[in-house]
Amino acid sequence: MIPGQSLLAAIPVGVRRVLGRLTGPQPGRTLIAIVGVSAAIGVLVVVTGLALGLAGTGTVDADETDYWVVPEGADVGTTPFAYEGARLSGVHSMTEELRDDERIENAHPVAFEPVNLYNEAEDESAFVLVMGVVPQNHVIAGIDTSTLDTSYPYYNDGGYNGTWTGELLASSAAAELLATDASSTVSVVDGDSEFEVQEVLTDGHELGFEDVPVVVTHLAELQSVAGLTESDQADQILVSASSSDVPSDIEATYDGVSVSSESGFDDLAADPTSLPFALAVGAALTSLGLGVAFVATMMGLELTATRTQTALLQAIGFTRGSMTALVLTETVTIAILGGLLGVALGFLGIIGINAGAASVFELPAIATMESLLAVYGLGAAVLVGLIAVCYPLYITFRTDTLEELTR
Amino acid sequence: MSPEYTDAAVVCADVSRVYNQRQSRFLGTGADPVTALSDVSLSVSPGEVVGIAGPSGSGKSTLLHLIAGLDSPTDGKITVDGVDVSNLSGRQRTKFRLEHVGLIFQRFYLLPSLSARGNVALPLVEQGVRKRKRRDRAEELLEQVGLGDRMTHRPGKLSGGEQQRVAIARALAADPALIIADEPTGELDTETGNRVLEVLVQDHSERAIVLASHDEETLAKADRVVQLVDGKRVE
Repeated sequence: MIPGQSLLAAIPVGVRRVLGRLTGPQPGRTLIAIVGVSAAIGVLVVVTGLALGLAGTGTVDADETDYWVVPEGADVGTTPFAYEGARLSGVHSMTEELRDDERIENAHPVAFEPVNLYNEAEDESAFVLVMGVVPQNHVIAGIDTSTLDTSYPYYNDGGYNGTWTGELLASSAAAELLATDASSTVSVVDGDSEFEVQEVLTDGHELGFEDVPVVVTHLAELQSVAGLTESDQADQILVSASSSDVPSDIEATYDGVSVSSESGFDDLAADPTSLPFALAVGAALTSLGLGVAFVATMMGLELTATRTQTALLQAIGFTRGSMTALVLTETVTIAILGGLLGVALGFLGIIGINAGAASVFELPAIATMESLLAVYGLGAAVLVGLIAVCYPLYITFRTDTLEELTR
Repeated sequence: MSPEYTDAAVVCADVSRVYNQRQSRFLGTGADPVTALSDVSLSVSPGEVVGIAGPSGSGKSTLLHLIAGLDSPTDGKITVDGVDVSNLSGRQRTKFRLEHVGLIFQRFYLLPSLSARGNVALPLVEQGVRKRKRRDRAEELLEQVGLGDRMTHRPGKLSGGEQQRVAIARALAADPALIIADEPTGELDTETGNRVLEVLVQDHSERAIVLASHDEETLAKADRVVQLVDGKRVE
């Protein structure tokens, strides 16, 4: 006998027993266990997808963005609203340096600042979130900035004394708050800067901008209004790059910055005060609890109902180790089958939620679907099996061989 | 142990089994002790088929369980294939059964989710035999018991006689020195039972077989029959 070989040999027997039960005349308990795990993992995938989506909505997301360069320690998930936190300095020069790197296709500095704007014509004022960008002849952060003056005159090589354009793009929510439309003029309360609305954004669907009071202007002009010119500050730099080495190279080159990737899981900062993180953790705990309860209960019932089989195996010489391997294999196999079904259900759920959000509330995708979610779901299913096996093992080792075989 | 038992496959020397013997000194006496077997001595030679006869409750099954290492005697000594079974730990008894004993039960006890071949191969799984060898051995045994065309059938698709033949093949899989059969034909009609017994006793050469039954026809297949009454051996 080869040491350990019997434990390994018990594994395919365990898998065959599960599949045999499923295709046999009484698949009930096994099916219920699988459905239970699939429901739990499905919920886990959907809620985690929502959490990832929530984490992602905090950033200025766009298809062309692969990485976000943010101040070290900043929670990229809440960056647009964390305007009191740390900011990047020297962003114009940093952006130029990044653009000089041939691996980087584009880099765009972005700043956010809540500003109290006043529409004198309508006597309306409101705080709106001003997003400052360096206009390009293409989409930045999901917004077509080509209607802004791409010569970016006010910056004037860091002098902040060029021609003031006062150009502003307003989301429909901001336009409504300020009672403005295209060509309206608004001024900064407690300041003398003026802006003219070039366009009301009705096509900001990708970012959900039309529902949020946001206006977009030249970064340099926002810096001037917000007092960010001295250190040339912005909140983040959006980077699109083809090489995966870029994030680490950026972090090595610039002190005090960190780079978040497009991967949604990276957005889930392990911060207990973060709603997305709390959602993800809550979903994980709930799903684990539900899954473990289903698998442990159903496997326990199955083993109780088939104690003579356990007794037979022990009678013909199956050791405790082999019985453990067998029951563990059966439990984890059930959990994995449930996990596979659960991941599929979860992805369908995410598709449904996003479709529903788009059609009912005209919101962009609110839940994220990515391949890592499948790996996460299956990993959770395996964990469910590993935790749940304690009860089936308890039932197994409580079985009295002689009593069962003479019953 | 008597000298003439030296080469025997099974030796039982003054074996007794009393249930409920240990009682709490503090919590009362509980149920009365029950003597299931009392001072039974027996030897079985290699290649011999010994029948254990007796009415219900005579101790037939108890004796078989003790010889098979499924239970331990309260008194006496049992040696099987040179191994003293009387004082083995639970773990040692499990290993003993795997290596020395093939078990056949009245109710077959096949795993319904495995094929006939999978059921036969179970002892070999525990022995760590490689898959190809397990498969070959299981198929060889199923051919031997006349089920060559039923290898992939699950127990639910087999008749009672066929299921018992699968159980016999399973008992033979690890090539044990001793086969223990407890009422092997108890669930079968006479004709089927006879066929199953023929399979069981065919070509057993050096393998000892101890079978318990209250059926005359079954016991007729044995080389000799030991009679038990009220847990005692009677001549």
